[in-house]
Amino acid sequence: MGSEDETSLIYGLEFPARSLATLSADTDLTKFLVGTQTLKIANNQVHVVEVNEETSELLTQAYPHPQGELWHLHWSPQNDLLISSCYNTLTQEGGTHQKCSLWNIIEDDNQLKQLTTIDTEDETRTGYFHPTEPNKFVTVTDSRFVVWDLGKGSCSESYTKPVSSKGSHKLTNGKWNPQESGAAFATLQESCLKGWDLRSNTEAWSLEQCHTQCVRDIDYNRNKQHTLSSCGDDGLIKIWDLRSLSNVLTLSGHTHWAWCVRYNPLHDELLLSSGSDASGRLWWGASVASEPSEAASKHSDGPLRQYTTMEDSVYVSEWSGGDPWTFAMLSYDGRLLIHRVPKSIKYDILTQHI
Amino acid sequence: MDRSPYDINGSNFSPDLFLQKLLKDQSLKEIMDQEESIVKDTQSLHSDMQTLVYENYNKFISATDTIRKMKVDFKQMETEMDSLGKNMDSITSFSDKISTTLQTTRGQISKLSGIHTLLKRLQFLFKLPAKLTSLMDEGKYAQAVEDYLKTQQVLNHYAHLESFLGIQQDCNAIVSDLRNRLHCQYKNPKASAKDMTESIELLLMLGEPSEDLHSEFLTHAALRFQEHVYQLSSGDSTEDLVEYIDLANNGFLCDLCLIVTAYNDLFLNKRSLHLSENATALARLDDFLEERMTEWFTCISNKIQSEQEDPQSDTMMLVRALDRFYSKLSSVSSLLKTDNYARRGLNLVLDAGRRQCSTQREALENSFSDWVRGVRQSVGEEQSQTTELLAGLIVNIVEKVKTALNQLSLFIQPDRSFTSESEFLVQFSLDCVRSGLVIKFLKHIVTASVAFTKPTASPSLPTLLVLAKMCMEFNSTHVHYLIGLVDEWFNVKLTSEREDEEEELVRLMESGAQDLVNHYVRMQGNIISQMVRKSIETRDWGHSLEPRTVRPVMKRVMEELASSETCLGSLFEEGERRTQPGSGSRHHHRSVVTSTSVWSQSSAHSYTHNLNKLFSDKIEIYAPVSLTKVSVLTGIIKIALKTLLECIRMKTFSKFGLQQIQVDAHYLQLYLWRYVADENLVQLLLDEVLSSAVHRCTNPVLMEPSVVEIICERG
Repeated sequence: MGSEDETSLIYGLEFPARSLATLSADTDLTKFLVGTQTLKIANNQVHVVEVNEETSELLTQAYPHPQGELWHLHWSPQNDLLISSCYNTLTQEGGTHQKCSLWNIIEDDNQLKQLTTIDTEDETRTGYFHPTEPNKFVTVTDSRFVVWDLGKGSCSESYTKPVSSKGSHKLTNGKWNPQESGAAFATLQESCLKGWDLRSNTEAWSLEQCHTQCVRDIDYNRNKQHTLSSCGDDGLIKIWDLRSLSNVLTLSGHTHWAWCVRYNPLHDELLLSSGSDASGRLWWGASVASEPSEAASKHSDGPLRQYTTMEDSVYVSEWSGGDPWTFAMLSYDGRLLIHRVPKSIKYDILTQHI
Repeated sequence: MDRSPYDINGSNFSPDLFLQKLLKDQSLKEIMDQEESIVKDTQSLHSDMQTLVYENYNKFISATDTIRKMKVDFKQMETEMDSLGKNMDSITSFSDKISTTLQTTRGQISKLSGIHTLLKRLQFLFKLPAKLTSLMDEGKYAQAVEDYLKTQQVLNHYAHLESFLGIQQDCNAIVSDLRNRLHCQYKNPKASAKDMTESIELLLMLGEPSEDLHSEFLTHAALRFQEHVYQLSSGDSTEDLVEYIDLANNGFLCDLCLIVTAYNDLFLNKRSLHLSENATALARLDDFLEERMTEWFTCISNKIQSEQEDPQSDTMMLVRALDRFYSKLSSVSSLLKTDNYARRGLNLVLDAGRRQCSTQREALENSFSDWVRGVRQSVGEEQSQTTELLAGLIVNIVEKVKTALNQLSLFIQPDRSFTSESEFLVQFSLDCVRSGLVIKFLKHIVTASVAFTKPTASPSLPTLLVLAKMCMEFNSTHVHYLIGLVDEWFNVKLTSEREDEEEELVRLMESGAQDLVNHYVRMQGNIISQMVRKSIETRDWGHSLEPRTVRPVMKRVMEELASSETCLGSLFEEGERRTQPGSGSRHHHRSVVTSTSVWSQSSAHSYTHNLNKLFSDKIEIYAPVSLTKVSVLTGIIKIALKTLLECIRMKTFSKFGLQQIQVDAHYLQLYLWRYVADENLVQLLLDEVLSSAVHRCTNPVLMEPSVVEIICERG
């Protein structure tokens, strides 16, 4: 694909990395959070990478994270200094255990201040702040997801849903539904997607076999209700209508597993995905977007751009919270690539609303 | 010419010169001889002359005698001619006398005979009413009308005389009765067409207005045809199609011809009609014909259609029926004065042909899905038969298409009445058979096969291969063969457009094969992936024991690959390998173990990094493969190894866990090379697998390569 205006910014880490979070609390800044993953536990770090929009320079700061190798990061949508991390620690017996902690970023001291640690018997895979309520936090473990109430200083369990019994498939991830005031949650489990209604404490919907083998990631469309995108081991990106539980659009192109899919926060016709084919891809999905518009005719649904300069699997990618035209892709070899959406596509999208 | 004075026969002969020359030139002996010869010549000439003179003299004498005799004869004749003239004169005078004598008598006789005729006529007139009545009673309407018309003028002329008026009135009464009867006669539905014609003719003679008559005529004819239509559409199922057509031809169509002929004779071929009247009559007839023929076509087309719906229907029968139908129709179309109906008939035949083609095609499609079902079932039972299954499938398809074509070629046999229409031939051959049957069916084969790659379908893996190979075979030979067959049998002329159609089909077959094989790779890859993934995910790698054997799952992977190879090998070509031959002991040459034994964890990451940079071409995992065994297997192995890599990265390994991976990788290294196109590819992927494991290991100490080798050989 062409790279007219697409000179990318690159930030290299010393260690492999597969965790990336984006700052959404401050909508003026483009800031990303990257966590390293090395079994030399003490060497692990969390890097904050800020993109200066004017000079296109990177402003970076590394915070030590000696507690464990990072598997997942999330940035509070309300507080730009509050982050969560899920990390792997080594146990006395030579095994491993995965926990979750909440941190305050202390910029001046270059330190992370541990606020609280959530440690259950289970392996904690991911943790997410609630999209709107600052006191709510959820963790997804192998067998359940747990909603925590972050009271003052401490945190307590407020809701638990065992999803996976022993022997069946483990949970791999979960996501808040950003709409419906965050009372809905979706979980990923092998090739199955399930939706939970936290108020009625019931399973709201279920999509079996939504991808061949595993579903790897999902993203709710925050601009359109009942719409969700998913990706998985068949290399496909699928968009679902949750009312009819039907697959309304399938995007194919990844030549190996698709690990991550993200709706653009403002323009939901634009999707970002990445996978273990070492590529990141931009997709056009206007026909199922919140405002199916004339611009749909400028592109047909399908691939827009692919970024193949990475040399290893790209497990995560994120849109900037400050600038909807900037996105980051993190490859396993520890390189963070920050790209901009090609101008032509940007103008296509901007002009359609006029 | 010969002016020589020495030539004895020449005109300029000079005896003196000749003599001088003779004396001068020749010897005595020669002169003597010459003299002798001249004397001889002179003598012979002399005798000739005498003979001639004598003959002429004789002839002259006999001519003189003849002339003398003639003179005497002519004198006699002259006197006889004179007496003949006198006799003739006297005959003439006698004849004049006789004719003047008889003149008066002759006048009287002719007057008498005139009176006689008049009396006869009068008598005829007076007897007329009675005669008419008796003729009517006897049913001799024609005679009655003739008589009436004969007397009509006279009666009109003498209508002022009472007696005549009476007769006229009587006659008129009788004739009006006659009219009624005639009306009844032709309205009678049981009356034959001939009776009808007769009645109408008489009525016309009686001066009924022809406009009324022809419309009534047609109305009643229409009624008669209702009967026919009813009979034809009631569908007596016992008769076959040919009999049905015969019935329709002989009943309906013949009657129609009679009606049209009669109508023409009665109303159209009369000079007395005005032009405008003629035109209305003609228009009426056209409307009538249009209606009848439409009914007829509807009946026939319905019958044919219902016959074709019967799965047991016989093409031969159909073609014969259509033949009769069309030949009859074209034979009457000259009578109907328009080839409109012939054209509609031809369309009907064409429609039947088209339907026949699509019926055949549907039958073929059904058979195809049966065969494929058969293949799917048998494939499950035994692996080794795939080649036979494939061959059987192809033979079935080709033969069945040929049979269908054979049947359809009945339509274009030269002795069929409709095959003389080139329009029919072209449309039938091209649209119906070539496009409608063969091309559409072949496309269906691809579509139906490729449908097995849809997520909802779950064919067994060998089925995919058989279908893929089938598409390849069609791509290389059978498409050309079948299309060539059609073109030959149905005389299709090749144009670039038609060749393009063929090429498109070939391409379609190729892409179908490609899709199926790609899908096979994904399916088989997924099966192995699943095995690999489960084996990594479910194990506690942090607490592994020291490896003693290769994990059983690796052996199962190899078994799966081996069975896939067997199946592929029986169907597909081997394909090219990229490495050079000659290093028979290649599986010893560079083991993963030896190359990685020196790593320490700190260097592991950068090593991976560098190694990755070595890839000038990134390995695409879900990439299309080429249609060879090696390429397909390479595709599957890529998927399997990449899965292994990704799963390892999700885990944390103890020392022994890492060593187990090392053993497994070495085992794979030993056995995978033989399947792939490019050995380096396996090497690279396994290197990455091991380096990832090293990176994910809490205590990365690798096993001695020699021990690894021993374990693998033992396993």
